[in-house]
Amino acid sequence: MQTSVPTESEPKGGLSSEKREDIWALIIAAVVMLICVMAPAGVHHFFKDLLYLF
Amino acid sequence: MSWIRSLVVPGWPKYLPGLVLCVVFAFVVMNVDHLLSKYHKADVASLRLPKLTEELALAEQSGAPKRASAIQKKIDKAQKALGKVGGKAGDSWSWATFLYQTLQFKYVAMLLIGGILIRNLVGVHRIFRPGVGIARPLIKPGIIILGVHYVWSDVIRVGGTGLLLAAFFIFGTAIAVMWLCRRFGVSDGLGGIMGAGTGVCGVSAIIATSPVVGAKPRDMAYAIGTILLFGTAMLFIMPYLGQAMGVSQAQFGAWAAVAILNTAQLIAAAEWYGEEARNTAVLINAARIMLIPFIVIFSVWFYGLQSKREDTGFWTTIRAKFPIFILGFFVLILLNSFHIEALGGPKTTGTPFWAMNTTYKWFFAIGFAGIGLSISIDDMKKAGGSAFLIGSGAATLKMVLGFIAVLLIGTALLQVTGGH
Repeated sequence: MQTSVPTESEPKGGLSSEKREDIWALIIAAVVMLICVMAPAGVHHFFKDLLYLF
Repeated sequence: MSWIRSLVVPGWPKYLPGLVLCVVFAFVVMNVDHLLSKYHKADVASLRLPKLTEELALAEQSGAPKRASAIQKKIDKAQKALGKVGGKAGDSWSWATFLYQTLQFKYVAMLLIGGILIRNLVGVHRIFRPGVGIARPLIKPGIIILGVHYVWSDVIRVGGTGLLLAAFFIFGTAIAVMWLCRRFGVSDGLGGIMGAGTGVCGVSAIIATSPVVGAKPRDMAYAIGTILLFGTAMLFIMPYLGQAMGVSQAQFGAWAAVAILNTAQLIAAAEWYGEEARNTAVLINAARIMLIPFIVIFSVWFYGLQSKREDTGFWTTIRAKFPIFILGFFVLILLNSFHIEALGGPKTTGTPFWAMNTTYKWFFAIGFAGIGLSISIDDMKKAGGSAFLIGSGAATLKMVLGFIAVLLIGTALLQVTGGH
């Protein structure tokens, strides 16, 4: 099946905003995972206790 | 290298003030939510403690050590909850229970309602607006991380059911809206994006389809306005509707995944209803958004655009429109399904997945802050004309039919077990 692909949202040699968001989401999740592998207790303490002031 | 360079948005410093505003707003609200939850738990514990003490005495008298030990654990938990607020049995914090449990005034509601009020009553200075707009996609890393809650058997059972449900409703709605728009003289551009938007998942589908059907910026504003207006209304109505009709958590998750068109609004409504509802909604949403490339291809076929525009292949469209972040979600499900000891699980203390399980809520909170602060009543007024009536009529019909469908399917096929 032949389809037409838009060019407006995907600049040549660049990324569309949707793709850019997706790649950043993957990068952020990978960084979170890496930190969790290195220091699980530290991450848990930070997000579960330290960020709550009351 | 140009690919890596294009990861950085040109003029990125302009996004920082708004992003910081969303982080601060999310931080304040998460703390208020935590405080409310603490007092609500203490209120419940205060009511339960005398009854538990009686039960313990009875269990000890009747010589049932196992039962007595189980009750003792519950008493310890209740006393811990009371200790956190410096209270004792008999104290009452019914206001917290009323707000947190009866009204479901949790962080999702506070961020959305609070954000809308701030945006429309106080106003958001223009220096913050670009950053507020890019806070919403921070829900995506949260969705990826949520992958640690699932195993493949969930994906096959719930995702399979969800995919069938989503495919039926997506293409059913898209066909109906596009056909009605054509019949009532709405332009192909507006009819095309309205069909894709009400069928799949709102704004993403509108953006993906708009260049294909040649939609004008004004058409996009109308379609996005309609989708967001409907989504905002459903976001606030559906959790209460579900509660009033006694819909189970899993069924609500599936129902919301069919009815609410925007991913962020869907996650917000499901999270509002409960954790199990959110788990089902996220999985069905993952199945749903994978259908975006197919709705683009369908639009090309429906409006007979092959001859008008530059032709490229089927796979090029799939590649261009596939939401690749969802691959990260599936990778985490795969890793969780293998039960790798080094990664553990979301409930195994001291493991990486246990730590990851504490982070996703913060990504959601920042994203929800972005949604609340960007809902402008003036933008909502942009929705109009017969396209609005057809779009919202079809979305309402989809909501009603979706409700009947999830009631017929039942809870078992829609429940996420997480391997437990």
